[in-house]
Amino acid sequence: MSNPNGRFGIHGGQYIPEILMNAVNELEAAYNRYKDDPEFNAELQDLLDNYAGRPSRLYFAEKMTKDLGGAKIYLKREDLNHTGSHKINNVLGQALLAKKMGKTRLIAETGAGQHGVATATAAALMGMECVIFMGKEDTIRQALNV
Amino acid sequence: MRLLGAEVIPVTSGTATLKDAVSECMCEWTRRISDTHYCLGSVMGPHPFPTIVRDFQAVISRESRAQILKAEGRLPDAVLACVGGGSNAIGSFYHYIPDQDVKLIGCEAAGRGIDTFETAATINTGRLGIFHGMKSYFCQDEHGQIAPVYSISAGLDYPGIGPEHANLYDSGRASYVAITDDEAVNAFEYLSRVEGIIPAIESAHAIAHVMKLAPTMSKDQIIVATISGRGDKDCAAIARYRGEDIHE
Repeated sequence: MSNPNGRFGIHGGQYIPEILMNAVNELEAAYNRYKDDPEFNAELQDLLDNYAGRPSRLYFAEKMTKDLGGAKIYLKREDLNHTGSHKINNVLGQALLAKKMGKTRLIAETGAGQHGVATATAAALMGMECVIFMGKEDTIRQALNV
Repeated sequence: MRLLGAEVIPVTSGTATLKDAVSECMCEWTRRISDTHYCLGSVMGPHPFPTIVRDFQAVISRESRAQILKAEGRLPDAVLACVGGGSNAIGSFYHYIPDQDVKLIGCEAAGRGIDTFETAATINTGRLGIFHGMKSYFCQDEHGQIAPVYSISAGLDYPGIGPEHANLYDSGRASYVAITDDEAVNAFEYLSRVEGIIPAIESAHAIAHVMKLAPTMSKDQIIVATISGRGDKDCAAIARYRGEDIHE
């Protein structure tokens, strides 16, 4: 749980250039306004269920459990979500929030490409412009996602 | 991504990997704030991002906690997830944090090993620092500059970790183990063969630790591990790692 200044113990905080302070303050205000808003949450839940395919399965890996010979192993299958990873959970929430804030353009970083694909997907769904920044090295090793 | 209508900008600065993509994104945001939202993908960066991303990912443990109670009538003994910045891990842990008997274990990318310079295991090798808008643990060189990090997994190839994880580590509530490229690749192949599930190479880091941990536990104990993503994207790279010459 973070305290009001966004600290987790000694960690966290906001070490950013002045020019971004307004932007993160605007985001924080919008988030505080919508995070407990029933209409916002109903809209997000509908997207998670009907677009992303939630809830994701909790699968009992019986063969693996037998083979390893110890604890029972359950796998939480975020790989079965639309776009193939957990990244869509966050992206649908943020894209919906951005739309409420009147933003028309999403930018995002990506490593393996999963977050980039999820962001591009949400942008397409919500009719927003989208620009993804990806390390050149990663565009080579994860070419399928580019 | 291009097919979906997005513009993809390859970043060539630094090591041309995830940290450089984050830096470039922050620069772009400063250039054009009015109509643009920076959709940060992990539980990192300046407040309020770590909190917002955690809340949206907490759906993972909200569901898994209810699902395991329904299936087994009790909570798991351990919850495992891979950690780069830490979004799937914090989502997998969050609703279990008050349950002190549930062990929370994050699996970091050791790359070629935590005793080498080719690693991305932040908790196991990093020090306190400030980068990308937050105070947390980061892999650093002897001058305190951010060290070039390495992992076979592009998604875990990041020199820092989200501040909430750093705090869970400080308080002892969660522990963080380091998994090498070799162990992750073995787990990638193992899960594919045994369960018919091809995990993302990121997620294979968590599976690798399941393979170590499960045999040390009794048959009435329970592990919940998160498969954060699917591994289609990794098949060619893993084949290359094994010395096969295939291309996408």
